[in-house]
Amino acid sequence: MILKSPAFAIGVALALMTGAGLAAQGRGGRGANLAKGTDITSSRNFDMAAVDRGKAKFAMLCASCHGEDGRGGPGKTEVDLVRSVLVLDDVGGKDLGKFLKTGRPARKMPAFTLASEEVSDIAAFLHHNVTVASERGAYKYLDVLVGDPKAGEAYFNGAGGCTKCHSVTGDLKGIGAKYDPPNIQLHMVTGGGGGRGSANNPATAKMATITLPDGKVVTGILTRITPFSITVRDASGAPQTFERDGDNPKVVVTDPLQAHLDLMRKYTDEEMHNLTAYLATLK
Amino acid sequence: MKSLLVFSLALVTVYGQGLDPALLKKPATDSWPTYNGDYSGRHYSTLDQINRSNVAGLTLAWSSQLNAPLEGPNFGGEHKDGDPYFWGTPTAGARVAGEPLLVNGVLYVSAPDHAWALDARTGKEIWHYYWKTLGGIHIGNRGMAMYANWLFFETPDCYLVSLDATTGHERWHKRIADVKQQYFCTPAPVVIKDHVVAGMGGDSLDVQGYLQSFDPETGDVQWKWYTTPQKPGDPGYNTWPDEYARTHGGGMPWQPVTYDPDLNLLYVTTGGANPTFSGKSRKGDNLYANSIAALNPDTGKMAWYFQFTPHDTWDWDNTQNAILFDAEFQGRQRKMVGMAASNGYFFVLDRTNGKSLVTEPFVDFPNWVLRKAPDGHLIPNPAKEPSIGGTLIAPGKATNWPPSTFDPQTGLFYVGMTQGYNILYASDTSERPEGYAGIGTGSGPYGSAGAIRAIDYKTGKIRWSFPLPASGVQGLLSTAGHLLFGHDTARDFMALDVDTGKPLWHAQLASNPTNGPQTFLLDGKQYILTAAGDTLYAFTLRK
Repeated sequence: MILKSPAFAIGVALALMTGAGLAAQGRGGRGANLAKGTDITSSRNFDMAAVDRGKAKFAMLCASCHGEDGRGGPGKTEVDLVRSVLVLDDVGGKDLGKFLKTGRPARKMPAFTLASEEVSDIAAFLHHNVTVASERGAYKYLDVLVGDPKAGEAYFNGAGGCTKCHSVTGDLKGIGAKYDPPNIQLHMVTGGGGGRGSANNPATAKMATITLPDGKVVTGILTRITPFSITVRDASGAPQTFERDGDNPKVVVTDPLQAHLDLMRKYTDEEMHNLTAYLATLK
Repeated sequence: MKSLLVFSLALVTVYGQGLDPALLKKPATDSWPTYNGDYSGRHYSTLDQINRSNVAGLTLAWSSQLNAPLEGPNFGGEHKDGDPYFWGTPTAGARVAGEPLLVNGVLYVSAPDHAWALDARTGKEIWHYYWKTLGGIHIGNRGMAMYANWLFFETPDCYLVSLDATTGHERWHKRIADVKQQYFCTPAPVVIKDHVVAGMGGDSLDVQGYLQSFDPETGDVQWKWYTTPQKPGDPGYNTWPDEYARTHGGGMPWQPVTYDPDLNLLYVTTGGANPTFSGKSRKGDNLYANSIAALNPDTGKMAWYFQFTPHDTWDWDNTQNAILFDAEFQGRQRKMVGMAASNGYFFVLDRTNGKSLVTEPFVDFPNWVLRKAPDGHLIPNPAKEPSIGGTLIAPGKATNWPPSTFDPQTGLFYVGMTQGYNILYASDTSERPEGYAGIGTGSGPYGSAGAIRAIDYKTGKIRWSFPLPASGVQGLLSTAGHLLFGHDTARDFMALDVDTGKPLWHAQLASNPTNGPQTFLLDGKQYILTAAGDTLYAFTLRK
């Protein structure tokens, strides 16, 4: 689905609104003084010391069947503890503790005798695993430098046409130290971090030339264009707005980043990767 | 109280046993009694009092900002004071991203955790209902359904709630799905005969999708249709490698269904397969995710299905408005269903059997298709799946839930669309990826260009395109007045000429509209209604 609005900010706001200090049934268990109204399933709200203790305990007692990450799979149990309804329904180890006392002998799941702290630690680890899988805002990139820097350099100086605007000893000097690889790739593809940055920067701002019916020409940095109006900032910095009605007045917009948009249509994933790998070497 | 009683009796008289199935062929003009105004999903009105010769005189009748307190005397819900929340918390304020109902001069409006009745002549609140949520992602609510004097809507923590339309008091609520498994519910239920058909959503974890029918009186489940095959022999059973993948494959049916009373088939569209950005643990086409399916509304039995994006790894939920229309195609009259899918392709099928008639792109540079099969299916290019180094993918999400529209007078589909590129990364390369299992960089497609496009259903060719400064994904309404209502992505609500796309009227609102425009007659006057965030705007002709 789209535009998933993470509950983080809202959870914080609500926690502040409702007043902190009332201990909820925190999944992290001990030490987690969560405000009333907290989304206890948010990864932010975990007691990470409990998660770490639970992880160690899980590795010792459970991982041989369930795998280090609890997902099971080939060579392990088919049960996936990220998808387990028992785990998802559990709060603070309560259901889990009950279950562990008897296990499920028919399916070769033994019983465990554990202290309640040990159960709540294991529960914290399992619940945290669920957030790691489901909170995509917190996903980590893998090593995105899969390209060939040599081939990227050749593309930069040749087919990519990058040297028309850029120089590795000028504007791109040290770019590999300034951004991490996913951000290098993002800037390269979009020509500026996904957004356009400040419209004050004439190197990236769109320019508009407006020819009025009386022949007068207004040129400036484009700050807003709709089907019914256009606003530019002229050389003096003053905003000027004109109504639009179809082609009246005549508007020509130029985009200094057009070459980046054109490249999107043109390069292969491999060429993109190579170029990123090359730029990452420019420390 | 007397007036309330009379009012409620009047409703029972008019809508005695649910909505009149004849609405499909004869859309109501003094009401908007179901999500799309009628069962067809065309989002088209036969009203022409407001038309291209007088639309310049359209003016604001009223605007109404919804009051959405997180408390109130009239409330329901499973959450008790002190309880924790799961996977989401209540949200302050309201955002109307669905279609209000209009019945007997009363508007029934909903947003996540809230429902209201408003006087349609003034926008003034009659009652408000608040739902105390257990959690769930509060992303949106598409609206309500009505049966006799009962209202039905879904909550973010996945309950179906029934209210008394007269008082707003709760009759009952029933669980649709378990919020602790990260289901969340946005759809507008649709009443078909004595069935309340309710979908659901949830794609953060890998869970199973299903569509259900509830009894409008008791709330009992009448049938449940799973969006993946359940047992050997079910069509498409072998499009999943194993039970593990098949029963956690997503395919959430979160778009309100459309319905053909003559064929007695409802049309449900399904979301993407899970894990969203990884196909590693679900090799195969993954039916019936990213599909349309025709079901018998009395039994939930599937008549046919057609998959628009086999083995989706791009989050292309196929949950767009499935529009039913009857028209001439290659020399003969046909019953068809058309849809502009989020994957950038426009599809027309024969809705009696699901056979493909048209499959053509409505975007300019889709890059994920290897080829089109002779039967109209698209074969995706495996090289364009999300990768560790990042994969450039187009068109991004070309459309979404906001209703597109079909105008039977022009024979054109009108679609608010966007196109651009995303970089999609694989982030979970384990044997069993979970959740999204990948990252889509940035907040939207790069170099995106929004537009409202008119598509010829016979060929899929673009008749005209009205460019927009930002993503153009939006709800549209066409009318017999030769008008197309939508917005310009810069807060102008506007009317375009259906034949040319030329703007004929516009008005600047406080924000961009967040739902599909609607229209109805009230006291003989035609109104155009749209919502922008927490505010409803009603327009009518200047006297």
